[in-house]
Amino acid sequence: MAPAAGDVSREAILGAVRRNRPRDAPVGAPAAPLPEVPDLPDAFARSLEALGGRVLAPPPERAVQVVVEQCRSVGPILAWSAAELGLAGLDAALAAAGVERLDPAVPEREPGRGEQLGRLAGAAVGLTGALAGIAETGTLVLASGPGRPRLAWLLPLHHVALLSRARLLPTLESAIESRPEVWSLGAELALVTGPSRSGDIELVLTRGVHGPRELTVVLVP
Amino acid sequence: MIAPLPFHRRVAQALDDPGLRTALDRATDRFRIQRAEGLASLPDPDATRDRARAVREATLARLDEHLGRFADAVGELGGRVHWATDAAAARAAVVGIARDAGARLAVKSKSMISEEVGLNPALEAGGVRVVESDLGEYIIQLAGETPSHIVAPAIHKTREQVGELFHRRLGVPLTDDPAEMTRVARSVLRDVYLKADLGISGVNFGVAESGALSIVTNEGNASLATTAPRVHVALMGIERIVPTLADLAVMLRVLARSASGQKLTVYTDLIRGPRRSGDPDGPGELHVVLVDNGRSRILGGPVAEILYCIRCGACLNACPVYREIGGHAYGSVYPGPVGAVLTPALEGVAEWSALPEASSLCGACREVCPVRIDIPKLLLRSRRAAVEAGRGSLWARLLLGSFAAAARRPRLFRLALAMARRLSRLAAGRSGWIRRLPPPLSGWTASRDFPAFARHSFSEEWRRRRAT
Repeated sequence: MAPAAGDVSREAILGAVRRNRPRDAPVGAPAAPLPEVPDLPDAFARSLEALGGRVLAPPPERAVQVVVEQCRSVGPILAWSAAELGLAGLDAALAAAGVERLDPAVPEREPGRGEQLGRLAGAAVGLTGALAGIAETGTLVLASGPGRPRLAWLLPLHHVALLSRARLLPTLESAIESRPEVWSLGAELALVTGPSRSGDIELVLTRGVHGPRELTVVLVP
Repeated sequence: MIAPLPFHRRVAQALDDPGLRTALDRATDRFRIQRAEGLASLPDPDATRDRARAVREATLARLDEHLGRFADAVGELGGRVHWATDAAAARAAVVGIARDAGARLAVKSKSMISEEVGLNPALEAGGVRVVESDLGEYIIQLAGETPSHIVAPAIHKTREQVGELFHRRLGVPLTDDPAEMTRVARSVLRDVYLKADLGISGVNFGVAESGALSIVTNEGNASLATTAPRVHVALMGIERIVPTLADLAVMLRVLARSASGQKLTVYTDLIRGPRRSGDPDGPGELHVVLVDNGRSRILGGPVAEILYCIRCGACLNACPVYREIGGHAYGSVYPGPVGAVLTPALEGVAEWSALPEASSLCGACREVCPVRIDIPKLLLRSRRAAVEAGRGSLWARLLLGSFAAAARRPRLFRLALAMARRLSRLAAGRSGWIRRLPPPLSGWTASRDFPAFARHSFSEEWRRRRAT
């Protein structure tokens, strides 16, 4: 059987690369020093606030109430599952406050796909957890998966993320080293650093271009 | 792509455009300040850049292995890999994917390689409407133009011009408020994301060990374009590989800082395959088109180092030539210092021989490059290649040949110098400046004056001072 056209191109390209790649041994350079980040919650908050995000740090007994307040707005919410949010009593409190939760499932194809996307676009708040937080940059580490819709951190104008203090790490490098399981968790892993923004018109900073205009991180126990 | 006007005509046009000058000044100044602040947030910026360079160097030294491993990893995750030897193959691959998917509408996030291969016209010809989603790209698509900067494609437009464009093309009230224009674009493009069958993106880095596609944006447009439509197609140059996640972290440390001064772009996505079973959302299909289009050839040639480039755009903002003429005058997909090396290498030194000449070799580009590419050296090598391809001017060869002949013979050199001094002082008169020279030297005096030679040569002066 003749090889598929794709295999021929693969061999042609890899063969040309092999023939032409540099012969000299690379010079190399040692790893560069990383910034020291002493107080993680404080550094995280300062980094994120500098980008226009907000960080709330309620006492543990008030965490549920604070999250509900953030979600009680003009429209329904698009949220991660209760198990993924991991804040005991939150589901019941949201229901009691009359907050409407959309079903996040989007069919892979028509029928129903476009219609469901349209419905999700009506969400006012996206509520997610976070697998880690990076203090140096004010970054949330998010991953897709069952119970973790990615559209929750992309479609609504306001993204509310619950971040456990224990999951704060100083740098991206430390997150790669100390939390290897996070990086293969889902089909999409997102590092989100502040609300959506653009400088494409004269480099004037504008927020909420395609993603959320507001980002609120609630630090939970 | 062949630019419609000769290079020097496009430059003259750009220099005559006051709106362009205003926009370029406002933007490149801001970019340069932000970059400096961004680098300053690192404990040791130079060591970080050395490390980033070492990662690129080591990757390219074994690119075949890393690239093969990356492609296998993408396949294991359920993605389909398409190998495109040239631009036509890349276009055909994407048009084929669109046809198989029955796609009518594609939403695209910014991708320089899609510009390089001329993707949009091919898709449109195949009956697929393509809408750019990056705000800057959307603006220039509405205006029927091409990007003039690698990271800020609409940098050549003032806010007033964008407001006018939106008013004319979208029927919204006239405004010069960027926030208002952003709201308009959000609402128009939101509809496109939800209706698009196909999401098209570039790739900043492909991680060989895990098959992850790393794509960075500030607006979130790539995230939405790779999540909402049912099929995602990613185009990627074969050199855009990093071996490991740890290597990716090194590159991310310098990429956004060099581009805009940010520590990290707002959205840094790592995509590993299409949606998985149990996932509530995400595309059902993922295609990765690996584009060679000359890169494997460049790897073995004199300007191989240009393949280290991570497309941050810092060299454009630093370049005194780019800052005067903007991106369009180059006439190429990739403008600025990096474009002046990359374009002749990709598309032919003969057609693009003017670009490496458009530099004073001042070295500002090398100074800011996050992976320390020696761009001036590569520009010189590109000039050499152009001359070897027969694109050097006869006059230049004649004059440089006579100079070389004289410079090797001290007596002849002194004689020639004495004559030149006499003649130049005669031509300059009292002012000491020569305002017009006959051809072929008229090219010099057309745009600047030439100073008369000093009364004494350097070596005469040296001897005199040593004697006293």
